[in-house]
This record gives sequence, structure tokens and C-alpha cells, in this order.
Amino acid sequence: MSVDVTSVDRDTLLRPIETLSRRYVAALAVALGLIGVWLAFYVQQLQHGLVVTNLSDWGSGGGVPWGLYIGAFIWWVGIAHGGIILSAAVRLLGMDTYQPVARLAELLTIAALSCAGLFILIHVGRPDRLVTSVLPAWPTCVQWSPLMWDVTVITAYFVLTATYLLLTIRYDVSRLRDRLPPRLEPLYRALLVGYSETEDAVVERMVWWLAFAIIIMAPLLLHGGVIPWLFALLPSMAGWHGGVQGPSFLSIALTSAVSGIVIVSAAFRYAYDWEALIPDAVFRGLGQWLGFFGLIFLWLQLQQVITGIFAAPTTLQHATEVKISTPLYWVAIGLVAAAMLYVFASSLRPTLFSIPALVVASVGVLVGTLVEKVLFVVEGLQHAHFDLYNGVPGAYTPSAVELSALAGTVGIVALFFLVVSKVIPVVELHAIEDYEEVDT
Amino acid sequence: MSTDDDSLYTSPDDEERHRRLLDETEYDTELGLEMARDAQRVSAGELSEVEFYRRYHERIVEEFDIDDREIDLPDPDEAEGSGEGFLDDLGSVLADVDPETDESRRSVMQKGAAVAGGLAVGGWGTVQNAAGQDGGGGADAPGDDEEGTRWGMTINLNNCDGCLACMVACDQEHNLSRGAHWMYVFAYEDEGQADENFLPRTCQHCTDSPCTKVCPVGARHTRTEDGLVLTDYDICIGCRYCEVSCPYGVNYFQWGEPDVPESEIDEDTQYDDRGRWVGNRPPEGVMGKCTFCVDRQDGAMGEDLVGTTACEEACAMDAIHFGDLNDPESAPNRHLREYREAQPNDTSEFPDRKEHTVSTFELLAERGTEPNVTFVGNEPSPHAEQVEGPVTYEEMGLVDDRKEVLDDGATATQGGESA
Amino acid sequence: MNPTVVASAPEYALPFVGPGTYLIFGIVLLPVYAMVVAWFVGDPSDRFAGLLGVGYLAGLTTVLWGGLLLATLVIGALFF
Repeated sequence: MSVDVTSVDRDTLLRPIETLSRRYVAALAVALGLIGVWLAFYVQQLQHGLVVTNLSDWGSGGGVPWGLYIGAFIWWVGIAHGGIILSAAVRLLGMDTYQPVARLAELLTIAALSCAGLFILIHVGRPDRLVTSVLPAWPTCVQWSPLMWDVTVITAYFVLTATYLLLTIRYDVSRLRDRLPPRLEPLYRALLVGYSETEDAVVERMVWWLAFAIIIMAPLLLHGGVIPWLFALLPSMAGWHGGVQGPSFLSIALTSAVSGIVIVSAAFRYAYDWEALIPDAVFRGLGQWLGFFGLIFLWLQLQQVITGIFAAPTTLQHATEVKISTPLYWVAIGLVAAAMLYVFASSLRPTLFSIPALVVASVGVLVGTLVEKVLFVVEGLQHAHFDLYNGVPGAYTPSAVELSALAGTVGIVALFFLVVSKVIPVVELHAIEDYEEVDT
Repeated sequence: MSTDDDSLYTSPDDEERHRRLLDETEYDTELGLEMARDAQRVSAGELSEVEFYRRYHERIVEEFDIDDREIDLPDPDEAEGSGEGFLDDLGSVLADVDPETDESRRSVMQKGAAVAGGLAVGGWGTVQNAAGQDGGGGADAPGDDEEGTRWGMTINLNNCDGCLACMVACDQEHNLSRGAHWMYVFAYEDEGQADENFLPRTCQHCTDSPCTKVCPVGARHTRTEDGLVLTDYDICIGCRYCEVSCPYGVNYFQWGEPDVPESEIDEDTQYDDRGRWVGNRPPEGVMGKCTFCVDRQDGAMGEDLVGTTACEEACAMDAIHFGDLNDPESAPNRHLREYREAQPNDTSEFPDRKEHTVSTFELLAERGTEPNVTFVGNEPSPHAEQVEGPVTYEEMGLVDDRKEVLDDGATATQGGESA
Repeated sequence: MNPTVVASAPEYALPFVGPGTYLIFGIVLLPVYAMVVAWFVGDPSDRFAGLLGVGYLAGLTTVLWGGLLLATLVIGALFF
């Protein structure tokens, strides 16, 4: 179902760099505003400590020491899987249809991983020690601490994706250099260090291997591995332990990642009239992926609920019963189910398909997956094996400080795209032109 | 517990209760009671499994048409830590009689439950006697060898009266912020246990502690010299993974500014003999928990107080016994020994029986943490519920639910709030 | 109780082998090893491009953690 977009000219591709609209400035202001609100709250947290959150001690305190911050951390890492889905599809499977949105997906990966890292920084009680404590301890702790496994793998994922981007951008920048903003020339010179057109084939092979390395590492071992193992390996909480967490986390990650790509791609298509550059077929295809991943997500939830209530050990049974009697859980499931049903329905009846509707469904999925992740963390902590404490389960509602961080990270991702789209082409030249050795 | 027949029950009332339970089923009450008695003999090693099987086979077939008992019952002494494994086995012996019909299965389950109830009272301690006294331990765990020091506790729940003096003493000695209780005393009601029960909960200073495993920076660590599980306040980044991984809920994070300022704390109580800041209350943003009074153990409060803890000192009921578990003459070992000697079993007629009838347990032993705290008494069941004790936390000036303190802090906009 | 401790006693009493060692270096990073090898071996490959790739990997890791270090130092100076 490859779609030919080679008729699109370079003017279209460079539209984000060569124009400046009032809407762009407005979007910039909103993004900066969100970040500003968060920063104001975060300074409060730095001054007074984590007491400004609604987190508390598990045990006699009856609270949860991990809450929205950790839920949002997992959520952002999940969204970050969009980059690998698309680059794998394009590089490894040759699905050229998705070439126009591949770089957007890679950029989303970098932005989302940064936000995930930021949530770690926000989450800890002593952010000033994050490097000075972690790095010296790495050799002695990595062999045990799942948190250290996470730090290692997320670093590797970030570095590999950024390397991918830096290697592939050279082709585009070298050919479009005369049309890129002159004041950024030093940056382009640095990006192109040692470039010659003979390297194109070599780099093409290198990034194939990069995609290969990332696809094994990121889905299978990051969200299907070390992130769920943060919880699944512990002896303390009934709802967390078990082998299904890996597949379950991965399904949630992939579902949210496709949603993220849909939203970003639709935003660029809308803002820059890219109907020809990012055609409907891309969204129809992404929609089907969304539906498929959503189906797996729901199926794995079913597995957990059934094994948790049929004849489960008492503590797991209790945790599961609480989970399925939480209305918010069904909101999360309902949002993902609704998106899946819409996508499948529009496959059967193509007239039902519309990009705005798909974007709405994707936003719903992102909300649903965030809710599911936060509930997983919070309710997991509220229903431990040791349930003698009267205070447990206590109540937890994220405080304004915590919620502001969520808004702040959304602002950061928006700001990232707004800035990057002014500096480099966010759609690869390959999407509109066949590979060529010689420029115009 | 001098005779065979008595051994299953601590009082005639119990036997009567179980007899009634068994009577309510459609099956032979005497058979159930006899089997239960002999099952205990199996557990004590007085009766072989094969003999147990042979003795009842014909009557079971007669009664239930089928005998599905497993002949290779595991040795109850090998059943990890608690009597549950054995009780489960006994339950399945009785329960699997007729898997085809639900009705008979349920009836037999009732018998099993009644018998298991009896054993829980009379036989549990016997089954798992040794588990408590040497604490077990992984082969590569520090302090697990019998040389050197391994600090630990024996807490006798039968002696505790829930006065909360230990909580107050601990909070004061370590300058803890309101609502943080390194020592926490539960008052609880439980099925099959009369009156209120109490459970003083310190850090269990596990030999195989999940919190040290998961700590990303090595701040939470086991001190090699004596097995204490400590937090290095200079290294901790405050990620709270230790708190999440601990099955017992013993960790208390310093969410805001501590109630007691740094200037009021004696530095000798903060730095241990390795020069690491592990003692007294944590500073803001890092994790704290019971240290087994590491400052006392290192002699910072005088040689007299080495081998003691604040909670032990405050306990007027002789419930808390702290000391070196590797030393047979230490307080925890001596107390356990003397307490057991005071409650002997009948070994003259049945030489293979355990020597005492004292029940001990380690909290959540099935979590594999190998705690260094042994409790004398009955472990709270999953149905135990915390209740208000004879002395309330408020009466002692303590805040039970720390969330109340933290919520105050969360709404304060000026500095100086504490938690 | 003997308070004299050998100062050089291993702090965490664990050698550098555990589930995580195998997990990270034996399994998780395996595709990365394969990738780097493939950058230099096979056709078409180019020594400069390969070194550039390795440089990016090393440089980005340094920038990532270096930047974080700067951020934490600022936070530390201002708030702790």
C-alpha cells in the first residue's frame, strides 16, 4: 500500500523552516506557558521538599511513595517507542508509506525520553545527587538494582536514537543547506563534519543496523523488560508480581506510541497544509496499528483480571477486585476500547474514517494509558501482601504540583517540535525524492 | 500437653469445638479427630507417613469410597518456616477424598479446617521450632556465618501489652518527625485468637533484604560487620524504591524539613564506626528507617548500651530482646531458650517430639527475606485487623497516620512546615 | 561486639556479578555490540563513518550525563 508522494516539491518540505505564522507564535507561547507553570510549582517542591506532593509513606502512613511521577515516567517511556516502530517499519520492513512520518516519530522518541528522564529528576528527594550518587555506584549496583537497569537501558535507547537522527540528517542537510537559515550555519557545519556523498550508502547500512539494535533493545528489553521489572520482581506488592507485566507494559507502550505519532503527524499536516506530503493512507495505516495494539492491550488486561479473580491467592484476588471495582480503570479500558472499535469500524466502512476522529481517538488512548499506568502504580502500592496496616489503603490524588509536571512535560514536547521544525527538515528528503547521488 | 490425646488441644473447649464442627459434617467425627492426632505424630516424627497411610486406608475407603492421600507427604520440618505447608498437605489429604462430588468435598474440607484449627493452636510451634532460632540465611549473605556479630531480636508477643512506650522511646531517641515510626506497634484482632493481640514492628533487618537489592546507589546496604541494614544519608537520592520493595512497610521518607533541626543532634549518634552517616533521623529528601540503634551498637552512647536498643530499654513487659544472634547467651537467644524451657513438651513418652510447645514465627517468611527478628506467639492471619489498642497513639502524643502531618505541609506555602 | 572494622572491607559485600550483569552486558547490549561490529565489517562500510557513529554514541552519552550533572549542580547550589 505504498503511496507515492514524490510529486511533492522541496518548497512544501521546507515550509516549517521558511515560514513564521501567528499560530506558530501562539503555540510557542502556550508551550512556554505550560513549562512556566510547572517551573513555578517545581521551585516550590525544591524549596519545601516532596511534602508539597500528595505522596506519603506506605505502611502506617497509609499513603503511596510512588504516584503520578512514576506513572508519567512509564507513560513517556512508552510513547518513546513510536520512533522505533516507525524506523523499524521503514528501514527493516521497507514500508515506505510511513517514510513521511518516520523522522517525526524519531523526534518524538527523543522528546518523550527526555521527559521520562525529567520525571526521574522530579521524583527523587535529592535531585542534586542524581549524577554524583548514581555514577560512582553504577559498577557496584547495576548487577542488582532494576532501577539501575532502567537508567542504563534508557540511556542506551536515547543515545542510539539520537545517533540515528544525527546520521540520517546529514543527507538532508547537505542537499538543502542553501535553503536553511544562514544564521545556523555553524550548526549545520558541525552536523556535516567530514561529509561526502560517497558515505550515503554506508550510512544507510549503518542506520539499518541501528534500527536492528534498537528494535531488539527498546521494545523487548525496555518496555517489555526492565521497566515492568521495576515492579514485577518485587516480593512486596500483590498486584505487581508476575510474568505478564512485560507483555502488558509493551502493549500499552505501543498503543500509546502510535497515538503519539498520529497526533504529532496530524498537527504538522494541519499546520503546514501537508495533505500531499502526509497523505490519508499514512493515517489509515497508523490507525490500523493503533487498533491492533489496542486489541493486544485489552487482551492482556483480560488475562490479568481473569487470573486475578478466578482462584487467585487472597492478596492478588483482593488487589484485582479493587482494580476492577475502580471506575477510573474502566474509563481507561473504555477509552482504548473505543479507539480500537472506531478504527476497526472505519476499516470495514471507509466512509467513517476521518483524521480529526482518529486524533480524538488517539488523545483518548493517551489519557487511557496514562490513567492505567498511574492506577497500576498507586493501586499496586495500596494492596500489599502485608495488609495489617489500618491506614492502608489510604487515598491518593495527585497534587497541583504533580499535575503541573505533567502539563510541563507536554509543553516541553511541544516546544521541542516547534524549535526543531525551524532548524532541520522534520520530513526526510527521501520521502519526496528517490535516492540520488548528485544534487540539483 | 502431657498425653497423646491432649496434645492437639490447649483446652477441652477446643476439642469440644472441633468435635462440634466435625459432627456437623456427614462423615465420621471420630475418624477425623483420630487422623488429626496421628497427623501431629507424623509431624513430630513419632509416626511414619507409611504407617499413617496404612492405619487409615481401610477406614477412609469405607467412609469416602476412595483414598486420595498422597503417600509421599513432605517432611513437615522441611516445610519452609511455617506450619502452613504441612497444614495444606493435611488439608489436601482430607480434601481430595472425592474430587468428583462437590458436596462431599466441602464436607471433608470442613473436617480438614477443624483439624487444621486444632493443629494451629497446639502443634504449629512444634512443627516449625527451629526456624526461628537461627534465622536461616543465604550462603553468601554477610553476617550469616556463625562468627562475628549478627544483631537481631526476639519479640515475645505474649508479653506485649500494647503500652506504646517503645514507640515513644524510639521516636524521641532518633528525633523522628511526627508520624514517622521506626518502631510501630499494631493492636489487632484475629480469627481464632481471643482478646487483642499486639505486634511491635521494627525493621526486620533481613539477611536477604529486597531494599538493599533494589537501591540504585548502594545507599541502603547491609553492614558487613554485623548485618545491620542501614541507609547512608550522604548517598541516598530519595527515589523511595526501598520503601516500595519492602514487604513490611518499615521505611519513612523525610518528605519535608525534619522536626528536629540538625543543630540539636549529637554528631556521635549520626556517624557509625565506619564514618558513614547512617544514624539518627534522616535529613530532608532521603529515606529513614529503624537502624537497630546503630549508634548504641557502635558505643556512641557508652559501652553499657552496646547490645541494647531504645525500644528494648523502654519495654517494661520483657517483650523485646535485642542482641547478637550468633551468641548463644545473648538476650534474644537466652529469652527464647528460657521461654521454651518453661513450656516443655512430653518427651518422656514420645522422645521424638520437640522439647517445647512455644510457637515462633518470622514475619512474612514466605517472602524470602530471611528476617533477623523472631516473634514468639502466633502470626497474624490474613484476616487480622488492626484495632485501637488499650493505649491509643494520641494518648502517647503520637500521630498514627503520617498523611495528616504531610497534608498540613502540602498546604503550607511558607517555609518551616515539617514532616 | 567489636567496633574495630577493617576500613577496606567491601562496602556492599557483593562481587560484580549478579542477574543485572548478565542482563545488561550479556543480553540487552548484545544488539549494540553486533551493530558496532557491523559498522566496521561488511560491505559497504567506511572507517570514518564507523568512527563517526562511535563518536556520536560516546559523545551523546557524555553530553547526556554531563548536562544532567550541570543541572544537578545548579539545583544543588540553589536549593540544597
